[in-house]
Amino acid sequence: MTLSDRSLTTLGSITILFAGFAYWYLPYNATTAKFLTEEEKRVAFLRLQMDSSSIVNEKFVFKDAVKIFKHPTSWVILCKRNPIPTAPPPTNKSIPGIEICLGVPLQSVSLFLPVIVKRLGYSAVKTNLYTVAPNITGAIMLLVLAFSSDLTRIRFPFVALGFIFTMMGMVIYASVNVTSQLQVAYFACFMMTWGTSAPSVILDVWFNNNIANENKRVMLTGVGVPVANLMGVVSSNIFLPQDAPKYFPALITTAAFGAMGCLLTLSLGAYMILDNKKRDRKDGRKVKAQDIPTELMANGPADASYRWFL
Amino acid sequence: MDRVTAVTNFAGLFALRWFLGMAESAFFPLVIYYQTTFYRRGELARRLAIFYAASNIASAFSGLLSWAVFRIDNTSLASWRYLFIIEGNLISP
Repeated sequence: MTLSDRSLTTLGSITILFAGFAYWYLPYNATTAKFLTEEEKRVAFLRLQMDSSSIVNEKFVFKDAVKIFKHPTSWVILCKRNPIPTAPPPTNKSIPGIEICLGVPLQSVSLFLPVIVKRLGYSAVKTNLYTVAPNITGAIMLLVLAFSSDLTRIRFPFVALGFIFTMMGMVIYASVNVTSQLQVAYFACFMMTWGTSAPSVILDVWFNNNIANENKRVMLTGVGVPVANLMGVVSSNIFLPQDAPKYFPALITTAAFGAMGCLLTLSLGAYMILDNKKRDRKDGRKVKAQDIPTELMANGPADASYRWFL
Repeated sequence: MDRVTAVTNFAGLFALRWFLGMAESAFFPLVIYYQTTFYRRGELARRLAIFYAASNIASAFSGLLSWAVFRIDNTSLASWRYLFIIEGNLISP
């Protein structure tokens, strides 16, 4: 073992130490957080009972958790194997789900933005500097979309908007002449980043808002997020060396996934609006999902009082 | 991540990348779930967005950082090993 090898071994422990610190510092849940008084803990519990979970701090039961895969909407989110029951015509063709559609743009932009920016013909220093700005505006746009989504208590249009941004960025970049319309091409790079994180974050929030059962929630999140990450496999195989420098097929593939994701999101949103109307008629009263306490939503869509969080 | 620094062949690299992937794959889904156990439905998006935005801003600079690290020369370690030392020791999920 050389000196440098040994220094590496000791240095690696910083991340591990932080994990230990996080384990010690972060509360197990809101009801046992040390920094809250008894009264605050009770409020924290009630908040979640009314507006997050059907049973707060529910014990994990695997059999209960996997029942989430019986809901057709879960498959629209993951990979659309079955059509939505009411949506004609029934089809056996499998088409990608929203997580798959958002995974490709997300990974394509985060992996290949430097390659795309490099095409603009700046020096190596500038190319690296010029990827920072689009990424930062991407983070800002994520905050703008998420805050707007919370303010309006509506999710799916913001997911769709994110998809549209990345798709338009890709289409603009693919269609302009990069050398003569440099500013437009660089603007397209900004646009690409606007829609990479927002669909992923707001989609996760959307389906979590619709699942009051904590077991089912962790199951769908635990499967859905890796499905999107897995699409990095697609992204790293569409930017082929023979397509350099413009990578047309990759840009078009990414844009197509964005368009499909947008379409699926809008369809799922439309289905939820229609289904909410049907439930309103059946129930004889008009209510919104956010006005129904989550403790009444234990059985998900099977309950008459259930409404979709749009 | 900085375990990768000590690797000498492709098989070793692949095996380490496998374990790295295993360790980090649970991170984001569980952060999302963890947040749902603290916040109400209507306030979840902005909370999660702040977390993701911080992570995005950090990775926005990672390209710049790696480019800079590749400029290091006249040392006993290869520059990519330096990169893994630096990035592996910062909190980079």
